[in-house]
Amino acid sequence: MKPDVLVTVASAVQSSDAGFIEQFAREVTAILSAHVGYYEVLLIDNGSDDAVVKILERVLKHFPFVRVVRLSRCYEDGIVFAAALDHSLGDFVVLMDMASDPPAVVPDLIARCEAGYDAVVGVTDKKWHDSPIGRLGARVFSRLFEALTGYAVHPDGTNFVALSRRIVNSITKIRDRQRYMKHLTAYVGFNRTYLSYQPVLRDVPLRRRSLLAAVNAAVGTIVSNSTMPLRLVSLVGVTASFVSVMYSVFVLAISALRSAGVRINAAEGWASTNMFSAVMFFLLFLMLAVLSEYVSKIMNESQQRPLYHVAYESNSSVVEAFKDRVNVV
Amino acid sequence: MRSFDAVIIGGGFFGCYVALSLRRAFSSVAVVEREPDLLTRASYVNQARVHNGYHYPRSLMTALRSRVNFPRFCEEFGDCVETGFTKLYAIARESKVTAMQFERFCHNIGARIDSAPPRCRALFDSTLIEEVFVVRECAFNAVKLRARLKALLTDAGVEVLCGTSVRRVAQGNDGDSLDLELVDGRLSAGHVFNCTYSQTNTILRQSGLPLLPLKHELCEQPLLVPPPPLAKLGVTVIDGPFFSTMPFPARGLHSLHHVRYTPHHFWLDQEEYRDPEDNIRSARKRSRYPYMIRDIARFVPVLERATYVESLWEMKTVLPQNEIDDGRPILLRRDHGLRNLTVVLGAKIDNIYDVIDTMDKTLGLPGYSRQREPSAEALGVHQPRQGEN
Ligand SMILES: Cc1cc2nc3c(=O)[nH]c(=O)nc-3n(C[C@H](O)[C@H](O)[C@H](O)COP(=O)(O)OP(=O)(O)OC[C@H]3O[C@@H](n4cnc5c(N)ncnc54)[C@H](O)[C@@H]3O)c2cc1C
Repeated sequence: MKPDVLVTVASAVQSSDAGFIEQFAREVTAILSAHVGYYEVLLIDNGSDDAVVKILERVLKHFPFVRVVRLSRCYEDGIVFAAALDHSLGDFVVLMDMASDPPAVVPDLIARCEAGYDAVVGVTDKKWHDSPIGRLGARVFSRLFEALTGYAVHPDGTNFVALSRRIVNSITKIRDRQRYMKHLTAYVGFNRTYLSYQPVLRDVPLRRRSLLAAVNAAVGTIVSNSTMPLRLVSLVGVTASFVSVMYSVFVLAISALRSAGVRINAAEGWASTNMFSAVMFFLLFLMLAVLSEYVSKIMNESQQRPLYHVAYESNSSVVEAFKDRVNVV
Repeated sequence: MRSFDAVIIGGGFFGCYVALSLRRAFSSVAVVEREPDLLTRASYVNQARVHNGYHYPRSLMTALRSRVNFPRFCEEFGDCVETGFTKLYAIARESKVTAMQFERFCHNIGARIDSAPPRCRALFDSTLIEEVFVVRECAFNAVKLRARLKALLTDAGVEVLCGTSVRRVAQGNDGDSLDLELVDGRLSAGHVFNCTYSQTNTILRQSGLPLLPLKHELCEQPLLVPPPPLAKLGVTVIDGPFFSTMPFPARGLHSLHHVRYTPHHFWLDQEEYRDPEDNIRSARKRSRYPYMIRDIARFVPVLERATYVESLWEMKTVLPQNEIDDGRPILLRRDHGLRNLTVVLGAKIDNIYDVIDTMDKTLGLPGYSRQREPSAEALGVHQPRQGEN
């Protein structure tokens, strides 16, 4: 590794992490100081409780090159990653979740970045994390996603990634509020590679999301990354209106024939009218549903509020010398 | 044992200036300086900024005091001040003050502020910087200041003892005078002034006297050759991200200052006493220039092409907050633990005038102040009228 390279390792911190923040800081700083010339550990405090704030203060006194950026409240993952990338200085930036990602893998990730990859995405077989249904859902979703957007996201890819400054600068320019790290990384492109790793299981309940939340995220991701469903809806709409035009021509023709004295049984009309309105309503509501998704996205983006607010920033002050001096006042 | 009316411990800018002022009231005055020469420590290793208020948009009092002292310093030490560069203040988008508030603040303190020309604006990343202003600020040349003070001290007949240091101070047998124990001898004095900046508490402690609640920071000040577009520019970005690069006239280079990386570590003497001198000698001084330049280049991309030369290191001593409520960041304690022992400490170079004025008033030693304070009107300070906020 080049001696003057600067590496940022960033992780979110939340209240449930209290039990291993210090252990994480110790492991990460030990590994980084052994492997890289310059490093910073960026902890994005995602509105955690007072106990965590106290722990972070201790961390800043004991471990060098740690920075804490405290967000004003608890934000979604995507926003927290945005805050991490915005505040990072590194030539390479490693995003990790201190609850599950092993610090020991960090040098491997960085080595691949140095070899020229702009994004090195961590991959696990998610058996340890997701239920079989969840995993199936993930596969279906990733196929669907690729079909709709034209770029692929690894179904087993995690948010444990190393990114080059180039790709970080591209991602930080994107200020979408609904943001999914994996898909943003895939969206900006550059050259990507994968690295499989074994997660560490710390003593915490897994951060599992409910099926509803997963479906919600899937819809959100597709809406933020693809206008295909909307195009599909216009297509259906155009077809439906064409059909309804044909149908009216048919109805007009019938009535014209009848007024011309041709005998047609009028009772037939009852069924077709109902059929017609049923189909039309079905299509109408489907279209409204899709449109409302997009309208809500437009609204969110057009408000142009900052993605997040920072409560404060603080950084390490470790006095190495004369630790054994007596206290005097 | 040699005897003086007044002995000043510490030959930095403060010690020298205090000595000159005292010389008008006393017939024998001496300065004792540990280093081989005067003004080699904090008075040399600093950003060299002569403050003119712009730095303190969140403290009106401090800003106003700077506005008062700036013209005094520039007049008295005009030949030691570098003015041949343009000084830019850029307001970051995530700043605690907005560009509008800053403009208004400058107007209120009567400090001139102009919108920066496009060629200067173009140096900044507009997604991170809201607005860029040209202001009136300058840098002092510590080498010239040293020569100037030496000449003044010689003319005034102040004795300068370099290369020797004071270990401790004790009350003389008469209960009024003071005895100084040096590493290589003794002195006797009617008055002693402790002007040792970061060593203030060290002297007090070695003399068995009560310590002051000071904060100490180990500071790194990188020097660099700026890229050509910045050669004649000083840049300060406020106020959240807080950093600056500006000429360091003593070396013909630019200095770099970053609020996050310049202080490597700090401690509070009231929590855990350490000797700053031991600390600066033994600390692992690994440069943080790589961090500073990466952060700064986000805002001013052309700085990526700066060439690092070396870093200067110094202990910065920060006053307790309650000392600076009236906007004068100075500490002046008469009879501190011993009769006729005065402790003098200033946060910035120009605070010397606050020290001398306060000495006039509180120490009852008249006639130090050579110049009168300029009036508020002369400075163009905006006096709020009734009904105006
Ligand atoms: C990194 C940094 C940046 C700064 N930037 C600015 C700025 O831009 N603008 C500004 O106005 N101010 C700035 N300051 C503050 C400014 O440097 C100080 O306020 C000022 O220099 C203090 O002067 P002094 O004479 O008290 O200290 P010093 O110049 O340090 O003088 C104290 C002297 O006492 C001597 N001494 C110590 N112990 C003994 C002893 N036992 N016996 C004999 N001699 C002793 C020392 O050798 C030293 O020469 C900065 C300070 C730092 C550290």
